[in-house]
Formats: sequence, structure tokens, C-alpha cells
Amino acid sequence: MGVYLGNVGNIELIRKSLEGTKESLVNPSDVNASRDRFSFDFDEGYLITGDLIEIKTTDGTDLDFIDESGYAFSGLRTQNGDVLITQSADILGVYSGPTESGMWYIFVDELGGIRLYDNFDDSLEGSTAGLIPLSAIDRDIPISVEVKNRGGRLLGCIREYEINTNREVVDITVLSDQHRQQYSSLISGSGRLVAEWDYLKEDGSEPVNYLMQLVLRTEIGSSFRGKFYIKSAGTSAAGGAFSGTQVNDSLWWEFDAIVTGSAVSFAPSELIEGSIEFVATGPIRLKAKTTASRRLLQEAGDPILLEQSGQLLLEGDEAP
Amino acid sequence: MAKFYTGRDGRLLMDGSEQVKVTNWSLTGNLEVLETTTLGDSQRSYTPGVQEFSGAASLLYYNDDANRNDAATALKNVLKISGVGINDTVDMRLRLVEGNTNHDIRLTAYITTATYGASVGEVSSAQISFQGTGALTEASI
Repeated sequence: MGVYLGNVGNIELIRKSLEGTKESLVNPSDVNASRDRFSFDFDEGYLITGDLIEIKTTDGTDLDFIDESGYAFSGLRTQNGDVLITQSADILGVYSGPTESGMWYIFVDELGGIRLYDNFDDSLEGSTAGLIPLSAIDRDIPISVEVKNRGGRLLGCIREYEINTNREVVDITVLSDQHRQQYSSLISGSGRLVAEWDYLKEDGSEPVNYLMQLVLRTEIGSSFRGKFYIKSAGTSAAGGAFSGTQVNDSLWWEFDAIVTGSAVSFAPSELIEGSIEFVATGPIRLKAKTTASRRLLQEAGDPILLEQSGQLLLEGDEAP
Repeated sequence: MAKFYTGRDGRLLMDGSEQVKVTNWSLTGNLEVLETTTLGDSQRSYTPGVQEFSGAASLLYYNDDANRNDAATALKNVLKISGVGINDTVDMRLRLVEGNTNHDIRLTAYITTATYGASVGEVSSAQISFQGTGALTEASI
């Protein structure tokens, strides 16, 4: 039996909203084309920097205030399939927009202004890199906004987490029974995590400050999808029985959750820590991904052996 | 031998058939009294009037392997399309068991109320109320 320590676990967070869309109106005065920021009527905390949102017009017109460069670009090709380029080596092509909908990452400034980005990392920075330019408009544009799911990111600086699952039972003891009888009923889950507080991302990770913002998001709820790893890929047991084929195995709980509480502790000469409490909503799955090694075989079915007595594996597999 | 009775000793029989998955039953006997106090009396006095018996029981809504569902059978005494007729009585026997001895209250009754439903996190059950008609046919408590 292997001996596993807590450092083989981590948390992957998927931003999402379970509570639907919000409709609003973008007025000409809401769009500041020179600063590439716009706004619409939404309560503070409705949108959080780094969210991937889908903006859609509700009257079927195009999102004219978003520059065409904010949409997908496709290069023009010849009949032979070659991409056309200009004399200055730029690819000759067209943008697919403006259209009536699109998805972008957002940066929300302190005044509630929104900037659009084509990638998550730039949206957290709020800088000019990756910024989608905006255009002035001369009409009101009715829109609906929805926070979309996107790929999971590791939650940074986690110190500990715990998950509790609880199965309710119903008493079905009847007259003449000698022993209590129980019937399996609903299952629920809750948990708590503690992380060193940070508000900027580490490479590819989500800062815990996001969860603290999430609990305050009143209009579309405080939901997220979490993958809580017991053992993540690329980790090994600290001792005991453990083979190299297990390195890329991973096991995790996966469920949608709602943040129910957050707290930050401050004490002199101690790290600032944030603790988040959450409850699961919907099914709770305990998933496992175990990768079997694929050996290169001879015609006779025997594995091809290396001179150093190892077995030749297909590309991508680990050594046994 | 001294003995307390509990739910472990309880049984409910309807039309001679012991009901399964019964979680409780209760019986209330009531005697109307007619006042006979007259002028000059210092204390009120009464004479017995008409007796009545009623009760209630709860049954889990449960299908056994033979597709028997006692709760459904009881509910059908009220929840029926054709209406309740004069002959739609049931022979109720409320029993406490002591070894080989049965302590029974037996009466003929109409099922007067039938309630059942489904709730999140609970087992579906049927609650019935019954009203006795006529005298008790057995009282061996």
C-alpha cells in the first residue's frame, strides 16, 4: 500500500454560473471608444474580472460597439489551399464580425467599466495587451449577458481542503419490527478550503480572491464547478508500494458548488489566509483516471525488450 | 409477567389480512353524555348517550414482491371512481400481541379520510382515518 501525503492533491476551478442570463441596454454614452471600455446597468459584483462572458443582442442586430478585430479571423486561401499574404507578409483575410453575439474575457475596473480580452491571462492584468478595441455607436443596443463555463484552472496557494459527503436516511421502521430499518435517501456535500490570500494569478492558476468575490455575487449566484484532486497527475506516493505506471493516475471529486462563506484572517507576522466554505449542488462524483501503459509488441505478442532490460513503450507512456 | 407494550407488539388487520408496513395506528372511543340535571340539583348529572369509535393509521406506500400494496388498498376505499357505497365497510382489527395472546379491538368502519403524497427526503406513506359504524365486535384488551 502506498503512503500518500496531502501534497499530491490540488483544486481545479471552473468558473460558471448556474443562474442564467442578465438583460440590459448599452447606450451610446456607455461606450468609450478612445479607452476601449464600456458599461451597462449591472450591480457591482455581478461580473468579476477574468469571467468569460457571452454578449448577445436581443433584437437580432449586430454588436456594433465591438470592433471587428474582436471576432474570429480567417485567412483567404487560393484554390490550392495556400494562404494569401500581402507584400509586407501580413496574412490577407477577413474577420467574421461584427455579429449578434460573441464571447470574450473581461476586466472590470473600479468604476464598473468593462474591457474585453481574447484570453484569460490578459483579462486579469487589465493591460492593453490582448485588448479588444471598441467603436462608438449612435443607437441603443439591447443585450443579454451570460457567464459561460470555460476550462478549469488550478486554484493557487491552497494550504488545505476538506470535503464532507453525507447520506441522509429515512426511518422505515414499522409496527412489529424488532430493529430499526433505514432507507437510503438524499446525498449532500459540503467542504472548506484554506488558501494563502492572493489577488493576482500565478501562471495558469486562479487566485483565491476570486472565490471571495464570488460569495458577494448576488444577481447570478455564487456557483462554480470544482475538481478536488485526491491525487493529481504527475505525483507519486511518499512511500510504500508505488509503481511508475501510477504517476499519471489521478482521482478527484467533481461537482458544482455554491460558495456560502468566506473569511480572511489577519495577524501580525503571519500569512494572510482566506478560508472558503461551500456546499455542493447536484451530483457528487468521485472520478478516477488511470492510464494503462501500452507496450510495443512483437508479432508473437511478446513485448519488445530494451538492452537495459526495460520494455519498449509507445510514445507518451511512462516507464514501468 | 409485567410488560410494557410498544410498537413492536402492534398489528393492524383489515378484512382479516394483516397489513404490512404500518407505522402507527390509534383508536378513539367517545361516549356522548346526556345531561339530566334538574332544578334543585347541586351537581350536574348525566346519562349515557350514543357511543362512537374512530381512529387513524399510517401505512408506508410499499409494493412487496407479489405486487401487494396495503396502503393502496386502503386508499382505494376512498379514492375511487364509482363512489362509496353502503357496503364499503372494512373490518378493522387493532391488535397488541403478547406471545400467543392477541389483545384486539375489532370494529366495522368506513375509511373517511385518505391522504398520501411525496416529499423530498421522505418515504411516501398513506394516512387513513376511519369511523366505526355500530358497536365494537370484539374488545379483548
